[in-house]
Amino acid sequence: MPLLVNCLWFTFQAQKEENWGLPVLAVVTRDLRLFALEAEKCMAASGHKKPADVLERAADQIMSCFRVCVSDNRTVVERSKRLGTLVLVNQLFKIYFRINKLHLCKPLIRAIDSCDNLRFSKAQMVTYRYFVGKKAMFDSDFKKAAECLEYAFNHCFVTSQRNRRLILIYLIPVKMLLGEFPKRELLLKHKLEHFMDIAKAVRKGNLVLFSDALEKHESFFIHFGVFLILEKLTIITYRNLFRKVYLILGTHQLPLKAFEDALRFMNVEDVDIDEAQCILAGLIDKNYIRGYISHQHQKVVISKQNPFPVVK
Amino acid sequence: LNYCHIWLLMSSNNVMPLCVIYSITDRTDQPWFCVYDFVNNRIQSLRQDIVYQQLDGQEALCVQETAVRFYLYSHYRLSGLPWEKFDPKLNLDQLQQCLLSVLRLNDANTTNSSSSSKCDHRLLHDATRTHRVCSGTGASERKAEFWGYYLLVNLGSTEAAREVLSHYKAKRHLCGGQLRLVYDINKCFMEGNVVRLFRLTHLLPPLSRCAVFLHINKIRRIALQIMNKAYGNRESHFPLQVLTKWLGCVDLTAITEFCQACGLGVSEGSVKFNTRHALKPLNSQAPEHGQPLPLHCAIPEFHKTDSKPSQILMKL
Repeated sequence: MPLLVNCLWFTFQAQKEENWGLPVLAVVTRDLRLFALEAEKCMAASGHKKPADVLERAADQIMSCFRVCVSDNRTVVERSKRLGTLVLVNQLFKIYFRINKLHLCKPLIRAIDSCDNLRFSKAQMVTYRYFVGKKAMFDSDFKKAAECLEYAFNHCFVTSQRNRRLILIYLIPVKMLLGEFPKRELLLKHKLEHFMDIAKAVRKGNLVLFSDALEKHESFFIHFGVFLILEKLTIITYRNLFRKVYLILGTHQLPLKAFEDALRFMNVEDVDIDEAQCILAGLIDKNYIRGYISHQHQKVVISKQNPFPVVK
Repeated sequence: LNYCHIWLLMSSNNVMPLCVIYSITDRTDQPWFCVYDFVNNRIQSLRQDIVYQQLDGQEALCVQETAVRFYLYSHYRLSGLPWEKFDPKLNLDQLQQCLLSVLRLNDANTTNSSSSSKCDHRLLHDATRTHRVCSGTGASERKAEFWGYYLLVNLGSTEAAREVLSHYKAKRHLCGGQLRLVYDINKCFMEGNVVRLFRLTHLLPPLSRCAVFLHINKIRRIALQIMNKAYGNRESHFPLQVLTKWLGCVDLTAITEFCQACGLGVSEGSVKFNTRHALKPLNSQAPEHGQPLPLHCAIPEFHKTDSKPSQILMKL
C-alpha cells in the first residue's frame, strides 16, 4: 500500500495546473489509513513493542501528499490541488487522534484556516469541525469547542445516526460546562442515557448523584476521553448546591457553617469549615457567586442583585 | 558487549555499581550540590549506555527508576541554591525524560512479559537486593508509583490525567491507595481546593511530596490570588495562623515572606487582601548576581524527617 501511495505521489507531483487525480488520492490515502489501522491492531495483539509506528509511517506519507497539495497556490482555484487539502487533513486528524499526538494537528488547522477562498464539501467540513472541536475541548477552549461541534452536529447528514451520536458525546459535556443542559428526548433519541443522571445531578446541585453517575458510566466516559471534562462539572454542582442554601435561608449574609453542613449532607468526606470556605472562595473567584467572605464574622455576604450569575 | 557484561566489569573494576550511588547520596563531607553533580554525571553515563546498547529490560528500568527518584529528591534538597550550583530547569528536564522512559519501559515489559535479557541472575539479584524495586513481585505497585510521579510532576495537566485514566481504563482500577490519592490531589489542584490538596499531600510518602514541592510556589500563589478576590472586598484582614495551616507552611515567618513576595501587606499577624491590588508575579524575584531565590516553606512533616537520602530514595 505505501508503494502505491508513493507512485501516486510522484505522478501527482508531476502534474502541473491539474487536479483530476484528487479523487484517486482521497481513496488511496483513506485505504492507506485503514490498512495501517488494521496492521496496528494485529501488531498490538501479537505483542509488538511499537504498534503505533505503522500509523506514524502512514501519516508521514499522507503528509507528503498534503505538502504537494498545499503548496499549489499559483493555479486557478478550479484546477488547484489545494481543493484536496481538507480530505488529507481529515485523514491525518484521524491518525493523530488515534496515536494521541494532538499537537501535530495545530499546523494543519492553520493551513486550512488560511484557505478562505476555497469551497470544500459539506461532509469534509463536518469531519474537520468535529476534530477541531474535539481538540479545542481537550485544550479547554470550550467556547470554540461548542461552536465547532455545534456546526458539525447541525450540518451532519440526518441519517448518519452513528456520526451524530459521536458528535453529541463531546458536545454535551462542553455545553454543560457552558451552562446548557441537554433535553431528555435528545439523550434518549441518540442512546446517550449515560449523561441523563449527570445533567440532573449538576442542575440540582446533588453531589451524591453526580459522583454515583460518574462512577456508573466511567468506562464509557474514559473510553471517549470525556471523563475529565465531566469532572470539571463538580464546580458547577457546588455552585447549584450553594444556591439552594441561599434560597432556603433567604438572606444575603449566609453563615459559613450552613455551607459546611450542606457539603456534609452531600457525603463529602472529611469536609470542614476551612474547606467549605476554600470552595466558596473558588466560586467567587470564577464569578459563579457575586459576593465576598468575611473570615472575621464567618459569613458570606452575597450581592442583592443577581448573586448567582448565569453560568457561561 | 551487552549490558550484562558491563555489570560484570563493574563488579570487578573501579566502575560504579548502581547500589554504590545510593550510599554516595548519604555523604555529608561534601556540600550536597557536589554530590548531586557527581551522581547526575554517573546517571547520564548509564543512560547513554542504555541508549547505545538499546537495552529495554529490567536493568534499564532499574537505572531509569533510580534516576527519577534521585531527580525528585534533588529538586527538593537543592532548590533555592544559585543557578550556577543547581539548575532546577535542567533537573526537571532530566526528570521528565527519565519518567517517560520508565513508563515506556513498563509498557514494553508488560507486552513482552518474558524479558529478552540474558542477564546473569546473580547480578540482577545483587542490584535488586539494594534497589528493592526491580523484582517481579510488586510490579503493579511500582508502576502505580511512577504513574503517580508522572501525574504529580505534571500537576494540573489534563493530558497527563487522561493518560493515567486511559492506562487504567477506570478510576476504580487506580492501583493501590497512593495513585488514587495522587489523582485526587490533581483534581483538587484543578478545582483550586488547596485546603484538601495539602491535607491529602500530607498522606503521601516523602518522594511523592517532593514531586508536589515542584509546584509549591505556584499552588500557593494561585491560592492567594483566589483569596485576594474572595476576601478582599473591603480590605479585610486574614489571620496568618489560618493561612499557614491552609497553605501547608512550616511557620509564620515563611508565610509572611511569601505573602510579601506576592505584594500583599502583612501586619499584626494578619495579611491584607484587596481586590483592587493584583498580586505581584513571583518571577519578579529573579536573582541578581547569583543571589538565591528565597526557599518558600517546606512541607512540614518532610522538613522534620531524619531519614537519610538513601533511605528516602530506596523507599525504606
